[in-house]
Amino acid sequence: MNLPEEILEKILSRLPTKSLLQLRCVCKTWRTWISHPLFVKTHLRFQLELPEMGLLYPRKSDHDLDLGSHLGISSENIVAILDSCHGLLCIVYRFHSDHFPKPLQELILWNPCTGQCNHIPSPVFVSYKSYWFCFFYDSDADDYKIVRILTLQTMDGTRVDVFLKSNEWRTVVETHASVIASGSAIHFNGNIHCELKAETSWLISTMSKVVAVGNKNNLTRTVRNYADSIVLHTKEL
Amino acid sequence: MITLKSNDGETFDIDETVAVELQIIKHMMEVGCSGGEIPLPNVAGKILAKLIEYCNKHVESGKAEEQAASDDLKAYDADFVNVDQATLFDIILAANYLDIKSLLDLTCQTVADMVKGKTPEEIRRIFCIKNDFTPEEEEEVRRENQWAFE
Repeated sequence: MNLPEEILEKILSRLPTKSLLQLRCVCKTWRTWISHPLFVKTHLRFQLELPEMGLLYPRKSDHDLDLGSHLGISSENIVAILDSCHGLLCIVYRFHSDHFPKPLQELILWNPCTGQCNHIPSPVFVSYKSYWFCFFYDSDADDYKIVRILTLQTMDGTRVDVFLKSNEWRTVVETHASVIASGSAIHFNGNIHCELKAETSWLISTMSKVVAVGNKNNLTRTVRNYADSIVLHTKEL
Repeated sequence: MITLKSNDGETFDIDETVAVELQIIKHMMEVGCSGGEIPLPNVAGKILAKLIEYCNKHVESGKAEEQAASDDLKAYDADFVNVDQATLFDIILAANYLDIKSLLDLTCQTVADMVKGKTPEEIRRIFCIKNDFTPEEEEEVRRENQWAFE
């Protein structure tokens, strides 16, 4: 007895990923279907609404996990698990290149359930005092984004780069003002929240859906406004 | 009172409070075309009877607020889906057609639980699917997702 596709979709969405991967062997139609991006999204949406969700917590000692063998790189080169979103992990590792005296840092996006890895090209190397990354899902663009936020070595400036679907990094904020408090950015619900420095008190502002360059995005406006006001203020002194 | 007629001529009278559980009927009532008998060409009498019994039970339970009523409902649901596979699939199709969300969720979950842990061959039997992989192709798909079989 054949059930129509819409019902099969409702049934398969309820299965854990591991079971679904086994079901790819059933027939060619199921294999295509289970891997289809539309179904993957439906499945994710359903799973996210389930009351029980596992929490992946990176332990201080990663010896038990042996992440390296899953990613095809040497475990000792793994620096950290930076961030996660929808069960995908963003991991940074050291990459030794003949062209640079110091090792570069490269990123991998890893899906622990299916084992797929995506290597993300390095953003441009810039001297920094501190850096952090956010990895999140932008529902408007229907895409995952990686954001790198740097506090620059020179004049304590701030720089924000976004990794886009077009497989390139784009700088969305570059200012000499030190506006973002170190290590304060977190993502929640498609927005990045970070602590802005002010002289006596701190403010929390949102960098909503960091997308293309220009004055369209709120952080650019906020940071530039703030940077302008610092410059103005210092001129008055 | 609303009258439903199955595809094999059986008629069922149900209270309006129960009829609204079937979204398709609810829509018909809202646009004012629910007078007389409502024919349901996609549903057999035997299955329609079960669906109405389910809706009656859920509406009744919805009125009682005690925990005991909720546990009782869970037990009822578990028993309700304890039927042969052909009947279960018929119930799913009917629940989908009549748009009874809670029943559709219940039955889809039941089938999902049934599927979990079964081999691909058993799944093919359940859904009457022909295996169109050659042995080599099937082996390759297995290898692609090796860890899922461990």
